[in-house]
Amino acid sequence: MDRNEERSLIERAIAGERTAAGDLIRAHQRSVYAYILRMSGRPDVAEDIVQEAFVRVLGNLHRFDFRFRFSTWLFTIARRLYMNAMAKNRPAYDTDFVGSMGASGGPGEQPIYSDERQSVQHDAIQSALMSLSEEQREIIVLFHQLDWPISLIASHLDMPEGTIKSHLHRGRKRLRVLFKDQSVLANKLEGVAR
Amino acid sequence: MSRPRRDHPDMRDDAPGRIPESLIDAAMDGELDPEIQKEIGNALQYDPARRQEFHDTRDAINALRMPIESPDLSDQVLQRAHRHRRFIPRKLRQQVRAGRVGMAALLLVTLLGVATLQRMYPRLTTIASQPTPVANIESAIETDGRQLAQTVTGDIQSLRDCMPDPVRGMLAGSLNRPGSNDYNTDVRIVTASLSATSPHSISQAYPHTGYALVTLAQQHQNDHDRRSAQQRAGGPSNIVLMSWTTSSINRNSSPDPIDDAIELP
Repeated sequence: MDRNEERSLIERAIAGERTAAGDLIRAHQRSVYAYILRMSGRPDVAEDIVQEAFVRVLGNLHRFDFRFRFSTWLFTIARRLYMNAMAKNRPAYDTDFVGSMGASGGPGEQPIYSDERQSVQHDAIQSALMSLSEEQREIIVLFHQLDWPISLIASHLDMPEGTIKSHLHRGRKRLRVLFKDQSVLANKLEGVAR
Repeated sequence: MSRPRRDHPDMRDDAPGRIPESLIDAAMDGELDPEIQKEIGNALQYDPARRQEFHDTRDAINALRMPIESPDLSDQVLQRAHRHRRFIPRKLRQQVRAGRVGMAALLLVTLLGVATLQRMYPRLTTIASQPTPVANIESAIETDGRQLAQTVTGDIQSLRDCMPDPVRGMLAGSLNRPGSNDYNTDVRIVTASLSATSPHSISQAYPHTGYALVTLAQQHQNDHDRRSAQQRAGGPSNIVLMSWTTSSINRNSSPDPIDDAIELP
């Protein structure tokens, strides 16, 4: 969605058009959900936070400054909600749920991963991510999964670009090792199960 | 297959023929030109350890980029937004805002009005009980004075009746006519009030009481205000000087008492 189209949607949503508000949600829910899911490792937490973030965004839509990106604003609100939730009660990483998503299909009984291998990989990457520090995890998700540029991440996290790069390089290095270990372990377990 | 140890000389960044890790990071950050990236890709062919690292990193990133299906939350969000009344149309929001501003302005104007009225007409806005206004102050003072003079006359008469002769003589010279009788001390007793209980017993128990009263009145000759004091001259229940008012006498004019002249026996 280009910025003009997005602006039009926002203006219609401000005017009270429900369908425009729905379109706006659908256009951004996937990325913000993925971001919070990667950060928390908990689909239920991600769902709650994404819902609350959208409710707050819609309630304050008339205050939105069109000079900025809507997604940045939404992610900032979602991130703040996530941080608050973590400060109050840090949810445990739900490995069973993530592991079961490939087999059972997850929320709504829709299969999320097309095959067994993808499910194993997803489990391995999520486990590896959860072993990183919070900063490294967030920066890697924003950069490699959501394709945010370094400058935008720096502004979003209120950190210098050099610090972002440092976290990114160290986190990526660690993720590589952790992911490889997790994949090897998962493959071994798979072999034993067969 | 055993993994090469990091401390092995061939694995060090400064080992001959190795591609620096910082260069790989810069390539992965997308900071290098496509041509340089292509050259690095070619160079990786000759650095198997670095190539393996690169492939492992790429696998992790590819796993990270696998699409995640998210549930459609739009209906739930819109329901919640409506339930919390956070998502309301712009016109309605403007009306609500205008209403709030109007109410705040009205409240402010009311408070300012009350403050102004209170400053201009304090009696209108004071809630506490006020003293009852006296319609005719002159007649009220006259009535009070008349009653007081009658009381003083009666009390002094009683006092004189019960006092021995020497003290009675002193009273005759200074306290027998309030308002016109005291040129000798430059003080005029405008009003006086005496209270005596069982006056006949005073003459026996306190023969000098009358003299003490006169002395007390003279000590306050410069006092222009009405004083309210209880001076016990003769004991707890015998005689009390309740109150008195004095003023200086203007010798160039004749005294002009506010009280009516009291004829004492």
